[in-house]
Amino acid sequence: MTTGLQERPAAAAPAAVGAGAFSPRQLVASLPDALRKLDPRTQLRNPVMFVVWVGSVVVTVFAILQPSVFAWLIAVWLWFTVLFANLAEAVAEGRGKAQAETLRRTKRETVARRLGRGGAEEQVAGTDLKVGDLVVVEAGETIPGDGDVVEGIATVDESAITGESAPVIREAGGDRSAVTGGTTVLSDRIVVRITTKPGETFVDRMIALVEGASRQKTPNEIALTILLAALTIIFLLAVVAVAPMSAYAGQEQTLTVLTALLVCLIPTTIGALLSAIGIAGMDRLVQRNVLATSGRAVEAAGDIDTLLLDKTGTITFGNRQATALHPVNGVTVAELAAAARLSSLADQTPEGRSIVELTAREHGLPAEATAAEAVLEFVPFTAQTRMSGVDVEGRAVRKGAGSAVAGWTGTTSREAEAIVDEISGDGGTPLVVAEKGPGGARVLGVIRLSDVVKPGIKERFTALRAMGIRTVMITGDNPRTARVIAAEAGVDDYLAEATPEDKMALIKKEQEGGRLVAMTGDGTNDAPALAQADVGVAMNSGTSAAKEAGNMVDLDSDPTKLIEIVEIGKQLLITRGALTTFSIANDLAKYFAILPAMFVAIYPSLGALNIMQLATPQSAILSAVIFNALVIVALIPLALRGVQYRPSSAASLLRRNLWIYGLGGVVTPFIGIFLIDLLVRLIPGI
Amino acid sequence: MVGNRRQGLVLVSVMGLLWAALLTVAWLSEVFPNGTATQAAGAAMEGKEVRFGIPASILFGVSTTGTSTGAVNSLHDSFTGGAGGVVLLNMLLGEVAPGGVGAGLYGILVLAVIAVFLAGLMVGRTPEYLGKKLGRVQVTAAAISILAMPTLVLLGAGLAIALPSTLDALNNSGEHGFSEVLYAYASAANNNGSAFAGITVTSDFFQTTLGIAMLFGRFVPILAALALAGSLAKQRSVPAGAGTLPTDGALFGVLVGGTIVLVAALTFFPALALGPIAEALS
Repeated sequence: MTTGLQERPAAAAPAAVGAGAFSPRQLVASLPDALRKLDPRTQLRNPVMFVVWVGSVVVTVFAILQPSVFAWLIAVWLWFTVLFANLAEAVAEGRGKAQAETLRRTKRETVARRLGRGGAEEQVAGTDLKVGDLVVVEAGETIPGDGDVVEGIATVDESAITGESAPVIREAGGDRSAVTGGTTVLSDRIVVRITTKPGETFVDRMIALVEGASRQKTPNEIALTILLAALTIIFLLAVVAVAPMSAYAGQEQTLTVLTALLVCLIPTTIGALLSAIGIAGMDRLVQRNVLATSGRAVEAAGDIDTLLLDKTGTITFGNRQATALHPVNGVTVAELAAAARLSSLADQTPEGRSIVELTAREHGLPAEATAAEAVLEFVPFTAQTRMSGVDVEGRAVRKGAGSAVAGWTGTTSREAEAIVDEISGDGGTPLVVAEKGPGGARVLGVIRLSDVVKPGIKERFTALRAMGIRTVMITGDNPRTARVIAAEAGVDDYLAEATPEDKMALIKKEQEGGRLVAMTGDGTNDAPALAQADVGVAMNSGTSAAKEAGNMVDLDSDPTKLIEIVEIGKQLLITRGALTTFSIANDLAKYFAILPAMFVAIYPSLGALNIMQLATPQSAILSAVIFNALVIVALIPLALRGVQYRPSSAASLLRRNLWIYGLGGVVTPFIGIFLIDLLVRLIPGI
Repeated sequence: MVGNRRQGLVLVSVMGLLWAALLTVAWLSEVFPNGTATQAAGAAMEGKEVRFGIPASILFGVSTTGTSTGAVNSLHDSFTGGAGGVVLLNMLLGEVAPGGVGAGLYGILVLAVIAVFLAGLMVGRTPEYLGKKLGRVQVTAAAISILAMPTLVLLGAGLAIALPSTLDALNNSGEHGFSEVLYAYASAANNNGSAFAGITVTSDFFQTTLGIAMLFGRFVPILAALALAGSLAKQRSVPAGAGTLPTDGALFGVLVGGTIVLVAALTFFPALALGPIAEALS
């Protein structure tokens, strides 16, 4: 059980979209971009940093007109403040750019073999394809655009998109018909109907997303920006009003000092890091091979109240596994185990392998075929016989469905039939094992195949429950089976014998109660539900319709990832809240640094407020400004990585984060400004 | 309306604690005065009725500025620097401890909304208060509500103090004189109505600007609060779960208290430093 996002190995990120961890080198590499962002038109998008930008210009002009060491140092550090904010955004974007570059390489020019009317082929450029065109792709060729297979079956190498090197099968009809432009057909021949215009393909959208080109502010980000702007206005007024008040008291404040006060008071820390946090949140999804079509979806992921999880592949392993052996007719367990193993040795299906594993684990039999066994004549499973097995020294062993085996042996066993019925009733799959030897045919026993709940999944559901998220298992099984597995996995509820309409109804019911719902799906019939859900994650292996309908696509087609997506959404919001709290809590210390420095000449008694014992008024103001700038750089890694997140209740999360970022935000600047002042006081002229 | 007594209890506790804290500071400041004359007299009895004495005068002073009644039973102008600052700050918080007569508790509710928005993200959900989501519209309304009063007080007091004619209207010079100006605008913009005394505000300038402060200080926050209430009422209620920010415990009380101090009070820290704080520390 992995508990925090931090601990999860980053190795899961494949080469195609892998991004390295944050390093100081990235800061240097992003410097040119950061300088470019000094353009006032870019700054205008961020009200807080725009105020700092204007302040920097004002102080610089003032420093030119009335030069002093102090004025120049303040000017320089104000510019650094703006620059550091740009740097944060540039670094966040830079990580995406590297990924986009890798993706772009897959987008090389392709020549498509378009099928004309009457079946004639013509060669056209991949970029000239229109929606609805039919193209032929054969082994070794690159698929020219996104589409659905309408004819044939082929293995496709999708590593360019997913980073997964194992080829996947794509075939006409069904839920595995979607192909992505830029991927390569490894075998056979398929006809693809193009479903997206060139320039709007999956890869194009992915590039735009990771580059941040199509990035729009999310609802919560907009609301937070409004509040930060309001706080900026309040502090602007406070500083504007200080000028005449101070003049009345007997000392006019220079513009340099007033600007320094303003920049220190407005929430620059969160203002500088806000967009970087958003970009990094998207980036974390991309690193887990999930593509969100909007930042809104990532935010919604944090708000999810109900998770609809498909049983197969999410809660249980995709394939059933052998879990028990039931001998009949006086056969010993060891005898049955030996026969079951023998009949499954050459069976490479997951079920067959699980039987060999079971006999090895619980009955001490060899897990691999021995040299003598390797040469035996195996009888593979066919749709006609519905059995598989082995013939050895005049003895034949078979395993298969009850009716098939009964037909083969010509005998029936009431005992075996009872067990078969019992296993079926519990939702398991019975496999009957029988042998034919010189002494005639006889049934040996029954192997029980059942759904095995993934290890650790129960703990994850417990963690989700602590976070206030309800899990609902969706399965096509009958209610009895569903109940058994639901209890074993520890989900809160289940929907048995579920049809797509049932799913849709459940989503609507939850949403009417004011809850946000997330689900995964891959089939065309999942599309309406995916569109209705607040977070709909489509599997990359699914149909184009499903991918169109959802607001996220998982390139690994791993339904379990829904849980991680929710965690990433929460982590994004927590990071935003933590840095906002930190930023505002910082103000207290800055007041204690700057106010006594400004007014001590008028009212010496205010020196009592200089609790940090800063050397001179100039050193105090400069130290506060330097701290304000440096704290942005110091927090860039946190903004990009996200704060540590452990699934737990809102109350304990709040308590923990309030301690760290609230109290930390009050205390840190007192220490930081004090330490910086120890150095600053050494500068001559300060 | 919310149907949860604990939600209200938290806000009442915050109000009560703020009121008690301000009362304590004011009382200490009065009992241990820093002026030579008052120290010689033993207590700061100037401007107070003998039958009330210090405790009753301070109790009334702190309560009247927290409730916008406008009545006084002693002259706030004659309070010591600390106590004068406390009654001033009590208004500048924006009528939250406990809230103005007629205006009610919207002051602290708006600050609670701000607190939820600032720190509520830390539980990993977009902010919600009492089952309602706080989005762009709600934050805008809350922001306007908390912006109005500081704007009027700071600009008004700043403008007034810059005018030479103001100096003639003041009874006192220096930091105490400035406190008189600040108090006038704080009282007007917070629809308080009490006077610090010691300042003559009969000039056209004061009459006009204080009138504007009164008008906008009263109605802009009310309109914004109504807009906020309307937008919240339209929303469907989200059921609270283990994942929602708990707003009925002591932790949330700390959060609201912190927001009041950091957002509301710190805005006026520079102004207060030049007035009552400088006076109290001298």
